[in-house]
Amino acid sequence: MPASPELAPPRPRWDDHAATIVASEPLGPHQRLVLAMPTLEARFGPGQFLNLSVPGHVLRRPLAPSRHEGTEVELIVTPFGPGTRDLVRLPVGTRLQALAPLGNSFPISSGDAALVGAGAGAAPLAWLAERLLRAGRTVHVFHGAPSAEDRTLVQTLYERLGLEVRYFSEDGSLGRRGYPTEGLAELLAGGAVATVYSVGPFALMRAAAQLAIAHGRPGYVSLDVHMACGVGACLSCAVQTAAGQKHACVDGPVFEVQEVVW
Amino acid sequence: MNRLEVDFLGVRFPNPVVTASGTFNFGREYAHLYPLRRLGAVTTKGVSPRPIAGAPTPRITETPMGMLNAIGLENKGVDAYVADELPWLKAQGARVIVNVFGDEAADFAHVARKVGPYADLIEVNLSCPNVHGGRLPFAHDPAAAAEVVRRVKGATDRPVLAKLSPNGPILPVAEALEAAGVDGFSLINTLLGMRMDLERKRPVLGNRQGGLSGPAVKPVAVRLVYELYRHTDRPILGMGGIASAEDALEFALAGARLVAVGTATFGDPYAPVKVIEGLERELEARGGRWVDWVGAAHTPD
Repeated sequence: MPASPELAPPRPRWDDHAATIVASEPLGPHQRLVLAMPTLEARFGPGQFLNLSVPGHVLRRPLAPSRHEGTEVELIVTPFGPGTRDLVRLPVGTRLQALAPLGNSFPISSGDAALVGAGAGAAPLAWLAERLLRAGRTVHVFHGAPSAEDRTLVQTLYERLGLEVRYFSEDGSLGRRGYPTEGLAELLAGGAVATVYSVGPFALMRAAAQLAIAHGRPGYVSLDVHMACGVGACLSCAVQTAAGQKHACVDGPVFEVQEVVW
Repeated sequence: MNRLEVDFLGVRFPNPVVTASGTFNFGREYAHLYPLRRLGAVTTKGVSPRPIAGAPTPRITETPMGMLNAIGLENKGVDAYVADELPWLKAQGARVIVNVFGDEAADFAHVARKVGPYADLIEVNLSCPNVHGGRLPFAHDPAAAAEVVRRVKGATDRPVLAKLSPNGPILPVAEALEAAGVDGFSLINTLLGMRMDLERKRPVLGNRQGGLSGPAVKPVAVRLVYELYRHTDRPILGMGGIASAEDALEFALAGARLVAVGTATFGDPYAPVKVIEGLERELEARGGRWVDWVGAAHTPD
């Protein structure tokens, strides 16, 4: 029987919160940052994001946490441009500002869940996995990377939850050679009744979405579109949907796979 | 004594700090942070006669001390805003500057007529392409720009500001607009620029080129405000990279009577209010009023 997502709770209003870096450690090519955000009373839902200041940069960087415990918010940052490169170099103790909480979150499936991610897309998926496990769901995880480089990331985010991750690498250096959608295809072809969740490169999310649709399963993706304000004012993060143009920051970043014009 | 109070074309502003068009939408996103009437005014996102979907993504990218945007003038069209956002914005007690644009002069007038009841000032965006002028921006064609202003002036009793582009000579355009009856000027709009993606070997922006804004453009903006002030007796709304009270005072010295905070709001949603509070402190410390600073750099030594 198809999963029916719980109705999302009303969103607390965002504000600009102080965020102090209390831990920063490399996880292969990624960096794990922990922010202390004592004034943030609202809890992040998995998929929601914050818009984080980076000293010396005009724009903030939108990032979806991998965990929110007490006053601490955990982020995975992959340096790929000037802003993220500067962000991962900041020392512990650096005071930043973060608009939070922003956007919508993944609904919790009523049955099994299949998580398909790559790179730092594992961050919101791991936070989702924690919530799914707490709700008593069975969680299948498929993670992809170019090589074995994401091993420590996966260990840190998923294995602490006691989850077994099926790993796919393009060069075959860890897990199976290939893409994580191959694992999803086998799971669904085997008759698994699972809700599909995917965060990663656009092509990966599209492939995961097509599999969910083909098997008549509900599916959700988190669309990563360049944004400036993060709150619906600048209209940068346009997303084409069956219901017309929407904006990832306020209408998403989580979208139902049938809704997105792929 | 309110040191920041300023009269601009017959409208009283409690302070000279307004938002810049396109950086604040219609204010609703920020209204839970501070009362919008605390601002000098809210300048709306550009409004056209019909809805516009906008440009392909990516629509923004950061650059050294600035950003490029090519939103493509996305908006819901004038009727949606008159039905919803503009009455709401007026009900907040905010002063409102409505930014209007269109494909041809009659479009500008159509929008200005409809938004007039909600506008304290009308700002005419002359940087959009003129479909009857080879898609050359109105701002680069003095005659076409003057026709826009004439039509808008005929359509509304509200004061009309022309927003000037820094991507061509401004003085010939300003002169033609004065002859057409423009009430004041706002400047600068963004500077055209481009950034390349080394992986894709293509421009980053979906629209290829975009408008540069932020602190990187501030010296260009200050110079153009200074230059225009020398040639006009009409008031100026100055903008370009303003992020602090000191920045605002630079624009005042150059000749800006109002100032807009734009890109800084993306980095800090409280930026417009912080500029206002900074000006209160600066002028308290220095013992002057805002209006004493307007154009003060032009007085003989």
